[in-house]
Amino acid sequence: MSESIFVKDLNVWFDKNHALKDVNITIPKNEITAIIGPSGCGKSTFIRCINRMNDLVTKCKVTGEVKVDGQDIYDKDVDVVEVRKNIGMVFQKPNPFPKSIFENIAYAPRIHGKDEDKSLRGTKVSKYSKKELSDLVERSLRRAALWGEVKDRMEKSAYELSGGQQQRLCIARALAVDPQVILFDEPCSALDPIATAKIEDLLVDLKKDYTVVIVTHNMQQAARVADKTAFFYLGELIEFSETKKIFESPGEKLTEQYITGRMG
Amino acid sequence: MAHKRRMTAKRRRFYDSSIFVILSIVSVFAILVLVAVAAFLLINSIPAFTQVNQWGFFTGTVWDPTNPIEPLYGMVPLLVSTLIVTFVSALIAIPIGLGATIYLAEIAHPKIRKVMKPAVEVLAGIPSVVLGFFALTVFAKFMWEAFAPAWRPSDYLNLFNGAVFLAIMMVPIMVSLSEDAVNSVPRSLKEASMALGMTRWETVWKVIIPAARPGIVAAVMLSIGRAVGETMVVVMATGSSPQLTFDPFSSGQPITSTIAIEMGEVAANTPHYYVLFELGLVLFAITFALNYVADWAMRRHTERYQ
Ligand SMILES: Nc1ncnc2c1ncn2[C@@H]1O[C@H](COP(=O)(O)OP(=O)(O)OP(=O)(O)O)[C@@H](O)[C@H]1O
Ligand SMILES: [Mg+2]
Repeated sequence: MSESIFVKDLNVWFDKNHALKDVNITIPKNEITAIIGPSGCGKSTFIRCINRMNDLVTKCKVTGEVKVDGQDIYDKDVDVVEVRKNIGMVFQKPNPFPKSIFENIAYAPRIHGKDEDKSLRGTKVSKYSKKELSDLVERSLRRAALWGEVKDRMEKSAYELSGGQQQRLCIARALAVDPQVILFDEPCSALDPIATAKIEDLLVDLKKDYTVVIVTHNMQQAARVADKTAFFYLGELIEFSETKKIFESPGEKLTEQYITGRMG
Repeated sequence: MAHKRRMTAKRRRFYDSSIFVILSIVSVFAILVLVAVAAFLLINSIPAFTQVNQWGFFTGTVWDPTNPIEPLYGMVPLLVSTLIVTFVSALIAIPIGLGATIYLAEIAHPKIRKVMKPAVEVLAGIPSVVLGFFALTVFAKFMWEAFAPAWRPSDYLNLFNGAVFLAIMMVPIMVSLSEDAVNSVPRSLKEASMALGMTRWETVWKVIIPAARPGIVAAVMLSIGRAVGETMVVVMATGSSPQLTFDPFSSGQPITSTIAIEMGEVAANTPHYYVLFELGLVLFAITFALNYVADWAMRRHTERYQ
């Protein structure tokens, strides 16, 4: 089994707040890795380091090494646009653009173009044809198990969809730029159990083609879908191993306390 | 104890209902003032409908109300002046206003923004007479001499001169309002776009501005409304000559100037007097329409995210 994300001595500060402390973790390819831990322990901060979303926070400082597919994404020569194209992200609250369903998916591919050569970015040479674009939109929606529900109303506003459909639209949107890794930050916390179950099925299906990292507050969810689970506490990675082991025989006292709900 | 709690509940109810009553009175009062102004304009312009040829008023190209032989009340030159001044000032103010908005909302460091936003809002408070004075004394001279002898404006004081200073008044209003609109675009949309590998610019153009567009449109409309209604700057800067001209560099006399200048000199209850009220009514209709469009755009904006 090959590694997808390799993190070494990762430290993050927000001003003086030391949000992540010496995190070392290796996340395997084509598996689902769950990140659990109490609120404020740095789960979101951690996954936002993997696609450099923390760059957007001016007071945030990141040190250490994060390698995705062998490449250090914090290297000076790395194009952050390429990093984010390669690593999709789905957020806690569904956040479709105020555009049509079709446009939500077509937006990024249309701008990126289909050509891998990034010197062509934005020029006519690499543009998708209309047909290719609509094929791509359909493929992405099918992959996100949403096509059947929206195929007759592609021009309607994305806001007309239910919360669960919106979240699957956001997943399709991320898939459309063809990433290797997809990060999910509590993707089901705003959804009902049925919509949650659909997303969970989708996650399991996605891991065939993608590396999936999911932050969740829902212990059952982690147990259901994740191959490996990482437990964070106060900015530190306390324990990381097979999900079964974390839930059945945790190696650390803190983990056990958290799993059993006895954490103060 | 129970007794005391009942007393406080009663008192709270009293406060609640008295606040409600006060607020109702205040807002009814505000509406009454608006209605009174409109009624005042209308009542005073009704005599003009019969005493002044209305066809001549709306289509006449000569404004010469003091002509002893035959006074002419053609509002077209005034309307054209108003439109030129408004159009030119919008042409100057909109790109600057939008550029400043994007800079403030998306590019400037938060510390700079913290200083700039209030500074811009203070700019909106500069008395228009000060700007008019500046236009009259400094800028008119500058324009007259800057490109001379190769080029000079057709008149020393001209419509363009007024438009420049109207633009200076419009920009802060526009920036302040449209920056609010841009800022109210949920952060999550911006993050969604950036997470897809969009650059900051692509995100601004393709996501943030479209999402804020109704608010931006409203800001532009409101500031144009301000330009249409502004008086002091145009009185001082545009030369006040009610000729029909399409040359922005010649002097003219917008509707507002005309009312301000002539109202003080005209004898009450003459046709001229009533016609000035009718001009006011026209102006009221224009600004009312602009505000209405702005309001409609704004409402669409707020509905969108709820
Ligand atoms: N944008 C930010 N600015 C300042 N501090 C931040 C920012 N984002 C996170 N932090 C801080 O970093 C720490 C970790 O926050 P983070 O959001 O990663 O926690 P979390 O584990 O995702 O919590 P939750 O389960 O509530 O989402 C917290 O102390 C938080 O206050
Ligand atoms: Mg979080």
